[in-house]
Amino acid sequence: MSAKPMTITRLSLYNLRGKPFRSGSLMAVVLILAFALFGGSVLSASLKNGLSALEGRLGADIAAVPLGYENSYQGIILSGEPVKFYFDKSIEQKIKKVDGVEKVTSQFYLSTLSADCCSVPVQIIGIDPNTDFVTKPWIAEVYHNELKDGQMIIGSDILPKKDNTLTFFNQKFTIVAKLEKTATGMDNSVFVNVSTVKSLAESAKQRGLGTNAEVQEADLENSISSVLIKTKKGIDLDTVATNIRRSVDGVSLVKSKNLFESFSNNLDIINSFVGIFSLALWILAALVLTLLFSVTINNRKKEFSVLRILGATRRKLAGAVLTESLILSITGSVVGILLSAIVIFPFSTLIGEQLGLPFLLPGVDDTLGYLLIAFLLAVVAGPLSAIYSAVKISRTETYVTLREGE
Amino acid sequence: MKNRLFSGILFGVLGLLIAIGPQTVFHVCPVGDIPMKCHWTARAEIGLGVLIAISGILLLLFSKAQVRMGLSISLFFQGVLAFLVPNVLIGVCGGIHMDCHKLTQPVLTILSALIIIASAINGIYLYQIDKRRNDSNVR
Repeated sequence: MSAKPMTITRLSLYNLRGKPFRSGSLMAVVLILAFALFGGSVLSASLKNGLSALEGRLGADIAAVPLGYENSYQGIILSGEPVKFYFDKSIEQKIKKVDGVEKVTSQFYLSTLSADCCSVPVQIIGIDPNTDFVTKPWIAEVYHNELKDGQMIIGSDILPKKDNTLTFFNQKFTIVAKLEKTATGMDNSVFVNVSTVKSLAESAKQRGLGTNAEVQEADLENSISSVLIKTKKGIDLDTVATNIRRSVDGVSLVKSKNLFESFSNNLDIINSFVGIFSLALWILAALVLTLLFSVTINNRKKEFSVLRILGATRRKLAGAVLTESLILSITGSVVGILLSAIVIFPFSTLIGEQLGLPFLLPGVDDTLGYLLIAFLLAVVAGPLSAIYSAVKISRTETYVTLREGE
Repeated sequence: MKNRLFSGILFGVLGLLIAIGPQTVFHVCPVGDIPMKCHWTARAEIGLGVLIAISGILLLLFSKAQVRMGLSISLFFQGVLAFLVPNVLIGVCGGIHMDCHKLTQPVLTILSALIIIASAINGIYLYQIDKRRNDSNVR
């Protein structure tokens, strides 16, 4: 049997393996730190991404919806929660004439009770291609032609059939494009032109398929669900909203700025919390590790004295302590980041839903960046905490230490 | 003894989670008029989970390294099957916001991956022990 030379790394490995509980406890501290650092940074970045996606998709400054339906409208924007509410088409023209309004477009909402794509209700949004200024910019990213009758553009969470079609209320639609993921309600919506959605609603109404009282009672041909408004530059949003309220009855107004700001404030709070928590955890972990290393090295004084007698230099002893801490830190960081990834990535949809905020995971490049930062921050915590113990043990007098307690 | 106890309990718990979890803790979608894919996945996982749990108990009962190595190999393939059922063989519902898609599938994937990794490590560990024992007997 060939004997392997006793290098510092091998000595450290043997030491760590010899005391599994002690090594496990030290590693657990770094593991928790790495878990929190990586998890926190990815969560924070996902919320930031989600909010930018929401900001980019809002488009209109103000949305006018039937009285009392402002929460339902927010539901469409944020979670794609299917809704159907209607008011008279003439409201669009009335709002257009209001002072401070630059342009308007109307949308028509219909929801399905079950679709063969996913067996959950889907929001169908009918857009007016002639006036649309809200969806056009981001639909143009994936589809450059006009949306014709019988064609649809689907959100990223909608799964088409193999022949690239979807059937709603017994009518088959051809899918011409799929939008990119936005973490907003648009992911769970399909877009058609307004004449298609109205004929679909009419057909569903006649057959009594999945329609509610709103659909049954509405004069579909002369109805719309919302009017999206762009205000003139330089004019205060609140002034325009007041003008609309004075001129048009029976509408509730949802200001995009308010909708966005409420989330932006929440995000700021969450980001501050993640930052402070990460910093506090790092300091706490460093303190705990310093204490643990100090106690364990103190208990191993005799072991180090024997090593000194066997010929190990002071530098080697310090090296052994630092290598032990480095091995523990690397292992703890890798396991912590891995566990964090296992929790965050497969359950991102669930986390986003539970948070109730737009949640869009960062891209591969950004994720690798966060991984590297979390790894480095967690790894340095170990050796940094062990420096004091390493210096202390390398300065100890061998003879005195060995005779200690006699 | 330590290995027997640890591996037996680990696979027993993982097996039970795979068997019962999709019906309870990380449940699949409720059954409507027509049972969806996830319903059948949950049913298949009951059988697989019970099989994994029984293999775990057997690991606890048998002391011979070779028998336990055989059980680990069997557990490895049971883990592969438990992974394939929700991901390939049967699958879950398509909508990503559905319970089975956002919760059951990832949990089953993680649990079956744990079984695959743990059984592979256990098998290699037992193989090395058996080899070492044989080597020392030859000497």
